[in-house]
Amino acid sequence: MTGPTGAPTTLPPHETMLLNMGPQHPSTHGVLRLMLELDGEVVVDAHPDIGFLHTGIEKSCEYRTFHQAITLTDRIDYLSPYSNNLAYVLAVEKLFGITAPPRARWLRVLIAELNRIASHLIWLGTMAIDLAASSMLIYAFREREGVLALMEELSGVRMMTSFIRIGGLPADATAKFLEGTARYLDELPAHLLEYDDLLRENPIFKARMRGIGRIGADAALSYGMTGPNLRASGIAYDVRRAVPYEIYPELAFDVITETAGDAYARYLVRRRELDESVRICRQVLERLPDGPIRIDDPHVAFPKRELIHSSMESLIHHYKLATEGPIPPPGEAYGAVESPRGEFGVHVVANGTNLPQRVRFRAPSFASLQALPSMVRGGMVADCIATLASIDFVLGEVDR
Amino acid sequence: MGVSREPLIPRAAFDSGEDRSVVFSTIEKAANWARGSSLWPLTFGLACCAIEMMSMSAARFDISRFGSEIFRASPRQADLMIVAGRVSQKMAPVLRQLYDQMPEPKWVIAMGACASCGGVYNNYALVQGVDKIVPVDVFLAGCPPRPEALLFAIIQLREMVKAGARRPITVQ
Amino acid sequence: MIRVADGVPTAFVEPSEVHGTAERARAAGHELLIDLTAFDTPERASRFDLVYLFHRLADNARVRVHVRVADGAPIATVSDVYPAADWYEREVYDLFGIPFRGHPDLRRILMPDDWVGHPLRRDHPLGGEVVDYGGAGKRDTVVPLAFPEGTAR
Repeated sequence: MTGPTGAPTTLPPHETMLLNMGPQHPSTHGVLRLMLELDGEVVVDAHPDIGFLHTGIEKSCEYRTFHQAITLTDRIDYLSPYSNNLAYVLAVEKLFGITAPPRARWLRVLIAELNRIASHLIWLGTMAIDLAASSMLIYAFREREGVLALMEELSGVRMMTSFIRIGGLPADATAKFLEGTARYLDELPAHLLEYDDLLRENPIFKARMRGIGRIGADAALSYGMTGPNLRASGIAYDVRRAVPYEIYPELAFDVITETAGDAYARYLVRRRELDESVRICRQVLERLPDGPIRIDDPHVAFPKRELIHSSMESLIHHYKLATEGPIPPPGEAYGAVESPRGEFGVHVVANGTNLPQRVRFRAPSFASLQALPSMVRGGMVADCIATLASIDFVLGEVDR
Repeated sequence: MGVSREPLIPRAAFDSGEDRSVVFSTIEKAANWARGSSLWPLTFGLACCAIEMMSMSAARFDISRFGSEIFRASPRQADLMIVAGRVSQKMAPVLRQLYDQMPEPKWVIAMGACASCGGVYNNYALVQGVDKIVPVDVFLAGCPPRPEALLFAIIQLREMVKAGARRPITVQ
Repeated sequence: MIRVADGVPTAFVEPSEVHGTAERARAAGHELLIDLTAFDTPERASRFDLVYLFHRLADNARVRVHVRVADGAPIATVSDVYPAADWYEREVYDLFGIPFRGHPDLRRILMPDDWVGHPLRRDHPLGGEVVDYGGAGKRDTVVPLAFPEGTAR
């Protein structure tokens, strides 16, 4: 067919275009390289390329004592550092066959849930700014400053606290921390309701998130997805209920699920998880028992600081633990927690020496990213951004 | 934690003492003042330091009062690259390519221990300090550095830019 | 055999039985492949231990499968039974060099494509560089921070 000038007016069959997104890109939430095969604006396929943040953490842990490796674990899932710490220490405590004293376990849960609140706030802010709702980023980070101030009061560090030891905690929570947490929990829910007014029923937000990035329950399970991404597709799998750890069996909280499996469902799940975390933290503050915060076994846990100054044996134990490190009997153990992204598991293999033979970090975002191509196929490029934002992955844990 | 109001190294310290003509030195001073007052960073958050960089750009610490109103996504439109996070072997060529794309004059802040010297990770996977790849103007220690520390580094860089100097300085 | 310290039932299977074991796990209702990893004990002839972890949602039952593989000996992929295994096997291949027979796309995933060696093997060096801690004053000017009198630190 030719037009008035004699030129052809129908295009010949054309191929797809490969668009490279990242690794430096404002919306890839880290250094993810996403190669999109496009037919015009429609995504035919997506090929994630990871490894741009590979840090060799697992190898580095093999050159640290079991105690020293705690500080390396913070930086894996850096949006919620405490869940990494907790999972690692749980696995190592299984190797030793010990459990921390009750007060330590309650406090660990409190700190872990505060980290979940902080992580979900970042997700809320970054997801909103990817959809151009930029004020939400400012609000979310303002709320997050509250949690960071609490972490600083507790440990001296805002983010990478490493406020955990094999056998308990390094120090007790101060009254100022507990009062500050109570005050923060009193103020947060009202602000969250304000942010609901901004996003939850916003027609633009719903139009951009409803039906986008849909994944069914079977597909999600086949990709090994866990966490809010899986729960948004209808599967009520939460490590805190399925494979309980610490004192979660004694707490009342709901496992939030949705059925749609799209980006909006994932938003709803995490939004309601924020409320559940506040609920859990309140229960912990009410029922926090007194007692020691570290077990009394000097071959595993550091002796109390007062004892070091008076007892020769304690001084020697402290010295051995700080230099040589605790030595577990050979074996393997897997400890998992429900991180804000899903099941974060640590598989530790000990071979009778003071250094671990292998520390493996099972990252939930690794599975979620694997499922990404199936979630964006057939959608538009802009919807790809919304899907990426709704999955809430962290490249630090994907690449380790 | 108090941060001194005075810059760490004042602008006058960068004065090379060279004799310059009145006309050019005035224009140069004005140009340097303009450059320093509106440093636009590139969105280059790699890992954990990126989160503290985002905290710095948020309301509490607010980088836009220092002129960095917008983080530019395109390197062609940015003049400051804050390398926030660890640089892996796979990411190194990408970093260099982005740096090369930035138009002159451009500056680099190595934010955090990993960008400055490899940090905690002295291993096969990381480039031991981003100054192996790009020339760095300000090294900022911390893991991650507080947002105030990053602001301090940016203020230090402003002083250097306004003085027209370019020398590696370590902020502890 | 290895002491299992976390109470998860662990089966030790031969490399040739891996695919069959995965199919049986699937048939027994284990929908989730939680983890697929490996570790290296170079002193042994079969130096690698492949570890699979399965989870069943109905009763939260977990089962772990250990496979001992020698260097270079291929092992069947389970990505046709558990699609999640795709990237996990690529990671194990990248970091340990264990080839998976039948894998749709076996190539490096974390390391650069032209990397030589498999980093998580015990005989691969940690890498990094020697740090000269006595080098202050040689390259950079280090100026200590000064705080005004009376400000808290």
